[in-house]
Order: sequence, then structure tokens, then C-alpha cells
Amino acid sequence: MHLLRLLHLIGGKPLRKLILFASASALSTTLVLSVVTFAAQQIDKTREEFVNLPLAVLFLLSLIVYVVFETRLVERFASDIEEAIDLLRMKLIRRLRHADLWKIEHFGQSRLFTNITQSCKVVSSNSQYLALTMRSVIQIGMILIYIATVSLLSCILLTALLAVATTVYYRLGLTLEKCQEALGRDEGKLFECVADLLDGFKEQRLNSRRSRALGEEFNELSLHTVSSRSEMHRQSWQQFVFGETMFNLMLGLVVFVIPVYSPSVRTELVKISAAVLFMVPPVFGLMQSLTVLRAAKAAAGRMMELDSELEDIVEPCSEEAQQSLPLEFSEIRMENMVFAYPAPEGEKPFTLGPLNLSVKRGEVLFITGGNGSGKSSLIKLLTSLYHPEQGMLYQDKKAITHSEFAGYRALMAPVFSDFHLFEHLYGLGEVDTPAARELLGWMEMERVVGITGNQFTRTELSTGQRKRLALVAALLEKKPILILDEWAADQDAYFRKKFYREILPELKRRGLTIIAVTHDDRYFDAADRRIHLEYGRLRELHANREDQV
Amino acid sequence: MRLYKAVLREIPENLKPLLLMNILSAVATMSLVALVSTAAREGGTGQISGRLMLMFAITVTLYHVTHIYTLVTASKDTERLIHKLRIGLFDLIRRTDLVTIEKIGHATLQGVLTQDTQILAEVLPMVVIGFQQAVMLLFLAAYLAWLSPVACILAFGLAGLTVAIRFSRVRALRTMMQRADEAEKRVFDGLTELLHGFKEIRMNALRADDVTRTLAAASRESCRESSLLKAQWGRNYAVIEAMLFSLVGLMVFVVPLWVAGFHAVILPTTIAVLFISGPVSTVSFVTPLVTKAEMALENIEKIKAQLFSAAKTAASEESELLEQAPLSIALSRAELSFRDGKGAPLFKVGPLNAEFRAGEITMITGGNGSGKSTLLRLLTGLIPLDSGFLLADHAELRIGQMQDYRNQFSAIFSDFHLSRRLASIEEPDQEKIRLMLERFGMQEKVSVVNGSFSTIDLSSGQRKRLALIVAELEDKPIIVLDEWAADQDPHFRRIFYEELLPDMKTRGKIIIAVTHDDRWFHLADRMYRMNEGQIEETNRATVI
Repeated sequence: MHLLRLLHLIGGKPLRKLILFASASALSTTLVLSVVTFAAQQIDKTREEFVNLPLAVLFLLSLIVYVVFETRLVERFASDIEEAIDLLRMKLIRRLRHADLWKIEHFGQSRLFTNITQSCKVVSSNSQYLALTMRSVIQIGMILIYIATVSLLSCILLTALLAVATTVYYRLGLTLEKCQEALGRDEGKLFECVADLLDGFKEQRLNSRRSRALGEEFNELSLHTVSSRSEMHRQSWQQFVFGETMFNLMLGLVVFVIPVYSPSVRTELVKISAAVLFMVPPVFGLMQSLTVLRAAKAAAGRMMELDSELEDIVEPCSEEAQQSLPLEFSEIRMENMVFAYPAPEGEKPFTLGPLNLSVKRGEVLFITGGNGSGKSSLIKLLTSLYHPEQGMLYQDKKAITHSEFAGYRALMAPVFSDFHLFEHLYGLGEVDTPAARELLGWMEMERVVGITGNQFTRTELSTGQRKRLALVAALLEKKPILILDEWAADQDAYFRKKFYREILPELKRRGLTIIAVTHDDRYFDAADRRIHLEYGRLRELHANREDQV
Repeated sequence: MRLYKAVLREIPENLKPLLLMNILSAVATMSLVALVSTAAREGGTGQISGRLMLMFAITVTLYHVTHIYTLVTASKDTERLIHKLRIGLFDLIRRTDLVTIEKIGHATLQGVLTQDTQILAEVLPMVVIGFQQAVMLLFLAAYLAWLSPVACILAFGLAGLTVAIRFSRVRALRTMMQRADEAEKRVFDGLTELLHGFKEIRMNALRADDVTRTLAAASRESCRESSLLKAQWGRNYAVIEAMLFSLVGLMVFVVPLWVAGFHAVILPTTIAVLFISGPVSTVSFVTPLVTKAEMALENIEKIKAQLFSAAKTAASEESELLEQAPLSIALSRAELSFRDGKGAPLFKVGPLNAEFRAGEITMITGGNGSGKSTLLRLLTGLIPLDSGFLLADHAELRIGQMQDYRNQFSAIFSDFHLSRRLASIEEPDQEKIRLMLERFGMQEKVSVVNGSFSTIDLSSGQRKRLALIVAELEDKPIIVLDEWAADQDPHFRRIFYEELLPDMKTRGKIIIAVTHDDRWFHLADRMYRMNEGQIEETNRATVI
């Protein structure tokens, strides 16, 4: 049972206490039932109005006990579950932090997202119902025992009827779930259509036909949703009314059938009827939480499963202590590196390499090549984010091993083509604010964005502008090697010129080693060396000649 | 009240039969209670009346049938109500102008169309059952009053108190819920950051530590907030349940103090009160939801009102057609000012004078924020001018012609949207689509099935290629391309400038391309440069 395994993550014996609370709560409600019916019958029998004071006190006490333990139960259960979620979530996140890039890229981001966030939410938001389920089970058991003490026959008959009703109710629930799934799909389509209208608002304004078609489609989808939701409601009401009718039948059983077979019970019919009525809330509660329970169980299972899956995608040695590398070096180099992309079945895999590339300290190196020629993979190999099938990375004479990857990467600050701009300047400690301001000025962003503390004041900007901020962040890292993947692609002609003619030379003057992937043939002369990647091989070209692709 | 009015206005058809069935089901419940208590007593005398049993069978059946009818019909009707609201909103948005839409905001509109209608869809069935149970309570109250007026007053006094307490605690609980949601959202944001910035994180161990620490704090906080919320929920729940138990306690420990002769009715009273507690619980649960539904409905109606006047003016733009597909379009002394919330001017574009002719490639350059996008929006008629003229074939466009004028364009804006369905094309020409997909190297990734692209989950460069295919299939007299080639590799860039644009030119289109690719400026027949909201025609050679 995944939920219990999840709960046991927090250590100790959490279940024991929870069962204790649940039992105390269930017992107190059964006590309320017996006290009330006893008192009522007493008045009925004696034909006199009076208040049995000890019973009244007992009633009040039971109520207090109920409130205290029911509250404690929900509270405790929720906090235990939340703690378990927190533990598991952070365990998953720590694993992720050390994951191998290639494996993460092929793991499926949406699966990671749903499994971590959605699953946590499913378990967390339903924790109170899970607690109540536990109490309801015990409570139903206790009420049935109470009925058994009054009349064993009633207990047996009612239990049997209850079992039949529960089974049918559960079956109806399965049909209901199918309806809900269908509804979910229909709603997904409906919302997609809303996004089509709002995201493509300009497009539909420019085209009456598109606008009309969109309106018709939405109408159709909305009608679909109406019918599948109505169907879902029909099923759910049928289930609900079935449950109510079953209780009515149980009452009928008590007052019409049982007296025939068990004459001795005749005077106790009120007790049993009241007991049946007392069972209504826990039974309905239990039935309704069965769905929730199943969803929560599945969610907990997915989280546990993810834990073991993530174990496999952790980069070797990444979780252990890493060795640093000297900041002084004269070259970094890749030797005979071969990287093969797994191909779909029946096709020849695309292989990159063997690649031999040496980057000297302080030089500006341009890498060119068509789309899909493997430039971005080359960058990931050079930064040791991808691991080759053959070949090694070197810093001067030293081959880089797994335990030195972190140190090797620490030499470099990249802005990838699919870069992510962090709003916070993580990992810089105290931000050198004057330096940051100066860089913002250099990138001509000082009027658009500021830096307060270690945070950009805004990041909702055009791609070109966000790339400038990403470059600011990379330069603030003060690493000896700067890696840029098509950095200038989103800049306008003016700033592109500034980048190649002013920024790159100045960075070189400051002693940075620059490796840049680029398409801007107009500025190829800004590089010291240019290499071209074609068919998975590298070719050295003259930097300042306009060799076209 | 809003809800009541909306129901009367939109779905009045089934109200009468619904009310009738609802009353029938309440009567059935009442007689059920009476029958059970009578039978429980008669059972005590050892005689079971066949008449009672028959009545019981009839009552249970009646109860079952009327109950299902009421709930199912009412739910269906509320769905119809939601459908009407949804469709009405969607069509209004469709007919409204861009300025109004942007003023109201994308997020608000999305919220109204998805979240608010969703809330209604989820809450209204609850309201339905709440109402049904409230009617049932009325009849049970009558029965109880017949047994003992004092018991009735006390029981319903306490029941009312229960509903009030539940209601009064909802707000506090909602605030806590919001805080828990926010805390959870921070975990979500942190995780998004970790996954989206994964390469950057792997490149820098210090950054990785920072991000993980931030996430751990967020996770901890979320754990704490959720626990607090659940504790409060538990307290509320236990108190309400205890009050429902007290209903019975009241009958056996309090009422006998005051009412002489109560002993004769104490058993049926107790049973009746046990029947009451379920519906009371439901009603107390539903009452706060009514406010929620009212709020959602209010949002919808507010936005509807805002859209309504705008949509009316927008509709007046559809009355006339252009005489012919324009051979020249132009802006003359066109101006537009951007203002802040108080109406103070922030940035002014214009006066703009520019002409675009059929069979010509016109390129527009300009830095970030120079006003290029605004120029395109004015030119395509998406937003109205503050002053100046929009001309087609040298004649000022009339209001009634605006929609037809807009229909002359195919446009791929820099923030373009690619929709899966090729809704703008009547009969997609399969052969042409295949050729175009091949030309753009997309034939293996995408196909067109049933008038929809098989996928649009592609890189932005690839999606732009699909958007261009759609534009070519639309084959409008005017095409607007905003930095189309920016995310293409050199190969497709070349095809675009050296094959596609000249081809469109020979077909006599008005071609308007915003671009930074100076390598191909020589292909332009005419060049404009935007700078600080001003436009000037430039010589191709001098631009950089």
C-alpha cells in the first residue's frame, strides 16, 4: 500500500497514533448514539418528561471527546502526510539536481512535472478525507457491533445489505469515473479552443472565415462538454440516490422484516433505526472517499516509482565530493570524441565525430554549421554536459574524469541558444552591484531593467533583451571561458554590430576565452579562428574569409 | 440574486415541473419518516400492517424517482445555462476590437472563459442539491412542528446556527487555502526553474546549491501552510458534526424539560431529527458555494458588459466591402499615442507616411522598441489611428469597410499564433500542402489530417514555417511578415528571401517584411526605417 509506505517515510510509528485517535473519535460517536437512544426510550417507557442528568453529562463528555480527537486525527494525519511529501519531494529534487543532462532531456519534462507537483497535490489536498476514511471504517464497525448487542439477526442482515449496496455503489463509481475522464478530454479541447481565440486574436481579426470557423468549433465543443457533463451528473446522481434508497430499504428491513423473525427485538426497533441513521454519514463519507483514496494511492505510487527511476539518471560521481581544477591553463581540448544519437528503429544513427578541437586560452573561436549539424551537441560535449561514447576532454595535459566535471564546468559561463534566464542571480553570493550596473549599461538595458539585491527587476522582455541579461549574468560569474550559442541571432542590426565590433573585442582584451556558435557571416572576421561543423566533422577555416555554408 | 435572475432569464423552461417534482420528493421523505416511526412503534406491539408496508414501498419508489428526476433535470439545465454564457462570451470576444481585448487583458478573459465557467459548472449542481434538500427540510420542519412545535423551533434554531457557523468560517478557510496554494505555487515555480534552467544549473555547482536551497525552503513552507490549513479544516468539521449530534441531544435532554406530554412523541421526534441532520449538513455546505457561484457569475457579466459596447462598434465595421483587392495601401499622417493609466502620454508613434504597393517587396528595419510592431498593427487595421488616414488605393477607408480591409491580409507577427486547425482555408489543397511541407523540410515531421496539422509541438522556427504555409494557402493580396527569418537557419533563410519573396512579388502581392537581414536588403523595392516612433524611406545601400 503506497500511502502507508509514503507515511512511513517520516519514521517512527505514525500509524499507531492515528489509529488511536480514529478509534477514540469513532467510539465517542457510538457512545452518543447509545446514550441518546437509551434516554429517548427511557422517556417513552416511563411516559414521563424528565432529564437523566448522568446521561446528559455523558452525552456532553462524548461530544467533547469527539471534537478533540476528530480534530487531532485530521491535524495529525495531514501534518504527517505533508512531512512525508516534503521529504520525498526534496529527495526527488536532490536527485534531479545531479541528473545527467542527456537523460533528463529524454525523460520527458511533463512527466517529471506531473509526477512531482500533481502527485504531491493529489495526496496533500485529500489528506483530510483519507483521515476521515480511516475513522469511518472504525465507526461503521463499532455501530454494527452496537446493533449486534441489541439484535444479532439485525446486525447480520444489515451487514449483508450494506455489503451488497457497497459493491453496487462502487461499481456505479467506476462508470462514473469513465464519464469523468471523457469529460476531462472534452474540456481539454474546449480550453484549447479558448487559447486559440485569445492567443490568435490578431489572426482571427484579420480573417473573417477563421473567426467564424472558430466560433462554430467552440459552439460544437461546448455542446459536447454539455452532454458529457450532463451524462457525468446523471451517473453521479444515480449513484447518490441509489445510496439513499439503500438506506431507506435498510430502515424498512429494520421496522418491517426483522420484527417478524425476531419478536424479542420488537421493543428495540427505535435503537436499531437510530443506529442505521447514524451510519449514514460515515458510509456515504467512506463511499465518496474511495475514489479519492484510489487517486491518492496511485499518486503516491507514482512518486515512489519516480524516486527509483531518478536513481538511474543521476550523473556518475555527481553526488560525491568533486575536485576543483586550476583556474590557470593554456588550453582545453577534446580528443577523438564520438557521440552517437540513438536513432529511431530501422534508421542509421547519426554520429558526431570523431571530433578533435583545441581552444587556446584568450582566443576567440567561432563555430559555424547548418541547422542540425550538431553545433549545440558539440557545445554540450565541450562543456561536459553530454558524455561521449569515446574520447576525452583535457585541460592542458590532464584528462578530465567524472569527479572533476564540476571543477571543469566551473571554468565556463555559457549562454545557450535555448538558455534560461534566472530572475535571481543564483550562485554569485553577494552581487557586485556596480559591476552589474555597468554591464547593464553596456548592454543598453539600464533603462529597461535594474538589479536589486541579487535579482533582476524584470525578465518579461523580448528574447533579444533577455539574451542581453543572460550575458550580463554570465559575465558576472567571472569565469575564464565564455560560451555563446547563436547569441546575436535575436539582436537588431545595430546591436549585432556592437556585439561583434565592440563587445567581443573588449571581452577578449579582458582576457576571456570566447567560444561562439554563429551564423553571422558578415562578422566572421571578428574571430581568431573559425571551425565549421558539417556531417558531424569539424573543419578548420580561415576566420576572415567569407566561406559560405 | 444574480443567479436567480440568470436562471429565470436563460433557462425558465423546466422550472415548474422541477418545483413540482421537488415538492413531491420532499413529501415522500416526510411520509417516509412518519412511516418508519409509526412502524417502529407498531412493531413494538407485535403487529405489522400490510397497509403500512405497501405505503412504505410506494414511498421509497416515489422518493427514488422524483429525486433522480429533480437532480438530473436541474443539472442538465444548469449545463445549458453555462453553455449559453460560454458561447455568448466567446462570440463577443471574437467580435471585439484588439484595443478593448488588450485593455481587459488576456489573463482576465482566459479566467472568465475557463475558470469562472468551470466554477459555475462545478458549483451549480451542488447548489441544485442544496436547494432540493432545503425544500425537503421545510417539509420535515412541518412534520416536526406537528409532533411538537417547541422541538421544531429548537431543532431548526440549532440547524440555522450550524449553517451560520459554517458560513462565517468559510472566509478564514479560503484565505488559508490561498496561502497554501501560493506556497505550493512557489514550489512549482522553483521546480520549473530547475528544469528549464537545468543546463545552467549543471554548469555551476554554486547556482545548483542556491536553487536547491530555495526549493527546500519553499517545500518546507508549503508543508507548513498545508498542515495549518488542514488543522483548521479539521476543527471546523468536528464542530459542525458535533452540532449535528447536538440536534438529537436537544430532543432527549432539553425539550423534555419544557414540554408536557412530550413522552408520547419523543421517539418519532428523535427519528425525525436524525433525518434532518443530513440535509442540514448539505445545506450548510452549499450556502457558501452560492456566494462563490454569484461571484463567478458577476465576473462573467461584468466582462460581458465591457465587451458588449465594443463588440457593437466592431460589428459596424462589417457592413461594406472594398471595391477590389487593393493595389496600394498607405498611412498618411497617422499618429498613435500610448498613455499610462492616468492618460499622460508615454510614447508617440508618428506622424507616419508610408505606402506599400502591389508587386513590390517593402522591407522595414528599426531597432527594438522603435515602433515597428505598432506600425504593422495600424497598417493592418487592428488598432485605430488617433489621427491621420489609412488609405487603400489612395482613398480613405470607410468604417464599414474595415473588416473587409483586414480580410485582405495574411500576417505572421513576431508573436504569431499557429493554430492546429487550418480554419482559414476552405478546401485545403492537399497537393499544394505536400509540396510546401517538402519545400520547408517539414514533410517528415508534420502532415495535414482532417484539416488540422498533425502536430504543432515544434520549435519556433518550424512553427513559423507552418505559419508561412498557411499564409500561402490563404493566398491573400497582402502579406505581412515580422522577422520571419529570424529563427531560420541559412538554408531556409535563403529560400525565403531568394525564392519565396520574389515569387510572391511576381504574383502581384503587396509584401511587407520587417527584417534585420542586411544581406538581402538589395531585394527590397522600397525600404523604410523606423526610429523612435518615426518612419523614413531610406536608400537600400545606406541602411545598417
